[in-house]
Amino acid sequence: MKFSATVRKVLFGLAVTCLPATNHAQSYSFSNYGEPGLIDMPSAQPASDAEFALTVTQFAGAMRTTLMFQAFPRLSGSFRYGRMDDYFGEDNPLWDRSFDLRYQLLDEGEILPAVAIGLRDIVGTGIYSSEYLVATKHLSPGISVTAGIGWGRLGSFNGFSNPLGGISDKFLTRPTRDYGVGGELEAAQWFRGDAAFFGGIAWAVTDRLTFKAEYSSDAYAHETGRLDLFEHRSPFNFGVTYKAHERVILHAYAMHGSEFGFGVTLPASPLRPGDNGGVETAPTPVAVRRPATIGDLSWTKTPTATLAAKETVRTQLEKQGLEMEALRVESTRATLHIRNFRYVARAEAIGRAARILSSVLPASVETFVIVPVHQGMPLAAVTLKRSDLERFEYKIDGAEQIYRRTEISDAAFSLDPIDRDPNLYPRFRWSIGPYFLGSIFDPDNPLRFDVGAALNVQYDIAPGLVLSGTLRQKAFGNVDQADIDSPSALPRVRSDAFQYGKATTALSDLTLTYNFRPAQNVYGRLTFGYLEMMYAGISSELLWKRVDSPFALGVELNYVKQREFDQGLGFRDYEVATGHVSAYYEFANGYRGQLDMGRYLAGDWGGTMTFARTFANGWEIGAYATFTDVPFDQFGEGSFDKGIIVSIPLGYASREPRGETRRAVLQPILRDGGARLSVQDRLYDVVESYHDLNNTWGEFWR
Amino acid sequence: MMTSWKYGVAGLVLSLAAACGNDPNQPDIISGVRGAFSALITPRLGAESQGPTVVQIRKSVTPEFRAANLNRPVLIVELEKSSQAALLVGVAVNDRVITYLTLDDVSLAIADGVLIATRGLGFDLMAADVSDFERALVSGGGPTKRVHRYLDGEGKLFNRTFACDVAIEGRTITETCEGEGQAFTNTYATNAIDWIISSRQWIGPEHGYIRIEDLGIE
Repeated sequence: MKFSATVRKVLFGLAVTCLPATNHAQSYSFSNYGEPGLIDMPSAQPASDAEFALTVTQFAGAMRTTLMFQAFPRLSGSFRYGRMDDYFGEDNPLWDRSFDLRYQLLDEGEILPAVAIGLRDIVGTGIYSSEYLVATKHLSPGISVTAGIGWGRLGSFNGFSNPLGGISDKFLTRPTRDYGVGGELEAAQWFRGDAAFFGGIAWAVTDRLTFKAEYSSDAYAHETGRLDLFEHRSPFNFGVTYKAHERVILHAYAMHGSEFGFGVTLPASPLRPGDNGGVETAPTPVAVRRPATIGDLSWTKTPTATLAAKETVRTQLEKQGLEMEALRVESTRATLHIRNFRYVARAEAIGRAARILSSVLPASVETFVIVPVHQGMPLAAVTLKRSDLERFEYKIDGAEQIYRRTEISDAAFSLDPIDRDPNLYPRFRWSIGPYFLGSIFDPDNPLRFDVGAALNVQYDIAPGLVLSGTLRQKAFGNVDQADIDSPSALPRVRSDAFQYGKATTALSDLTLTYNFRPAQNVYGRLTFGYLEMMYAGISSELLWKRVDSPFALGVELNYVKQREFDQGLGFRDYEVATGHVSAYYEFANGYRGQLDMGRYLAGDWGGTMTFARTFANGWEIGAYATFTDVPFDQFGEGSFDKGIIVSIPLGYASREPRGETRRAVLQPILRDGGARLSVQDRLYDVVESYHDLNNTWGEFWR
Repeated sequence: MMTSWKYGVAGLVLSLAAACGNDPNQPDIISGVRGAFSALITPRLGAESQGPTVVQIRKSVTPEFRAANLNRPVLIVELEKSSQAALLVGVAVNDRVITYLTLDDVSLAIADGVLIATRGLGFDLMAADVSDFERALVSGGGPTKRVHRYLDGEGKLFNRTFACDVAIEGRTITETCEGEGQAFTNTYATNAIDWIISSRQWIGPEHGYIRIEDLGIE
């Protein structure tokens, strides 16, 4: 307990006193490789912390689409999907995935330049593979000079014998990549072979327009030789970037004296969503009690007084996107269970509910216990005093003051069924709307999509018990034209994905779910039915998590049968038992780690490591990798399953406050090893945001 | 609530399921689409600038209007940047702070004529420490300190501290402040009994100044 309180205080101190992430005082622009740099050459400037950018560039038969994320202030990663024309012959391009890392060794100072080290295309086929050490110095806020030394592709023009050869002869040669089935880290090549110098200047004329010139050490040997895509007449490249909008940057280049190139970068950052604090309307102000009325208990003698108060609380909550699950009003204490549909910052839901209670309940009720609930499971009991609400509403440090006096505890058995709102069960809800299904990385047609209508129904049968389903009807699209022939040495648990994509009318899911609290600090889930696109069966999960702990432990057991390709009610022959033991840990500053170990859909055993950066506004960006007992050559192309995870708060796109987030998983390659069941509403994410209220406490008074 | 869509078609699924339907908690399809475009084009600042002028609003505050609002205190405000004017009615009192609310749920918290918080504007002033300023009013002016609190993009609180100078000339008070790359000047006009009856106050870098006219309770 003591440790956690200290951690909490430190974190809260950070939450309140950290200045918002500001743009680098000095300018930087993006290169063709999607990271801060010149044109093809990198620079030593990091992007803003937590910034991510999508860059698409086209030049002489090479198209590169890069997604870059500045995961830490000093470390960024980029994932690239590129096309190189004619690689396999006329009209037969290579579609290639590559991954880069860059680390900031030195920050730019008064005298010293910024210095960074980078690795490009460290996994896979390696058509862009290079390493570099680079320095950048600003001569004035708008003019920066960059110089560096590169290896690999960046050491191919005017190269010289590797200076690292002094350490060992091994560095003098660069072995060709034996990438097998791809997907493996090709460290054997790093910093080996000839090196070459590169450099350039960037001049930000205005805060929208930047001119760049560089001396490129990339000889484009492949493209000018075997592929004959263009002529390398000069190592000098010239470019201009124009910031058309906060989030749209256009580039144009003159490359190697013979070609023009174009590109666009779309930067964004979870730290700068454009609506600081959200777009919600004003909360109910605290209603301060007249001291004389606090001792008045005469209202307890009239039962209708309580009923009227409950009804008023219910309507007030509904106006602010909260639903009353239950309310118990006693002479000096009230316990309110709420469902939150609107506030991603969970503490905001608590703060608004508390203020509503203060404006409705009789003056003698001094203690408020507010319990957020999800699918019948009480998640945490937040106990605060009405006097504190009155005292700290408008104090400059009101958020810290009331947090200090608030108790957050486990709420396993907090709900007495008598107090439950009778209108909640049974209840039927439905909605219809469009859906968009996208598919990328198919070599024949990298972007496929379907658009159609989806009908979603939800029937709350009893507390914790929900029947829900989604039916999709495709309107148009080309996902079903994909003709992937992917041989697999494993049972085809995921590689038939495109077959499922052909269904025009599809039962996405139809499940009966039961959520429950078996014990203190324990949460449970049972899901039965058509769980996801490809599998039906039963999924069960238990999660152990203490309210004040950054650590959680879970176990999941599933038994599923593979569904028919038409996503109807039928089945194929394959069935399997899968399950995992999971450990979760919240590090400081929103970084999260997860380790799952168990059995995957193809019957393989192994583990998944996930690491993500989460933000209090609901954004999450992370990556995972799964290693199982399936040997790399049996797994097939890619060697092992890996992907990028992005969660976006729904309110970001719709500009309306929404409490949900949508998660998308980007997998460069879809094969059958390390495949996990995709079941909805897994417990950890449901529970965690209501335990770490400190994280969003800045919005308590919002 | 987290829904996880990992559809195995080697890529990305975005489901914009939106209402028609009887589920009030599903997003509205129209605003969703509009919102998606506006998110790309411009970050949202405040409401559009249309609607009544300050003069029109002042005319609408009749004795009947006041009676209908239980003779609560009334303010007329105008956001300078957008020229948007609104009428606010006092709905709550906490110590010396009165919380005023507009029809479309924007609120201002005013302590003895000084704005100390806004809600519902977006980029709101979450809280302000103006105790130094209040002391200076009593002592006749001088150098003071002012602290503003806002939310950053992630929803975390941060403070901005300003060094100010307060000058009192007859019924006009001028507060000139500077700090952390910002500079602003608040002006206040008092009546015969030293109550602030109108003012021009700075909310923050995104909103700029707001003009406040206190019409009191009658």
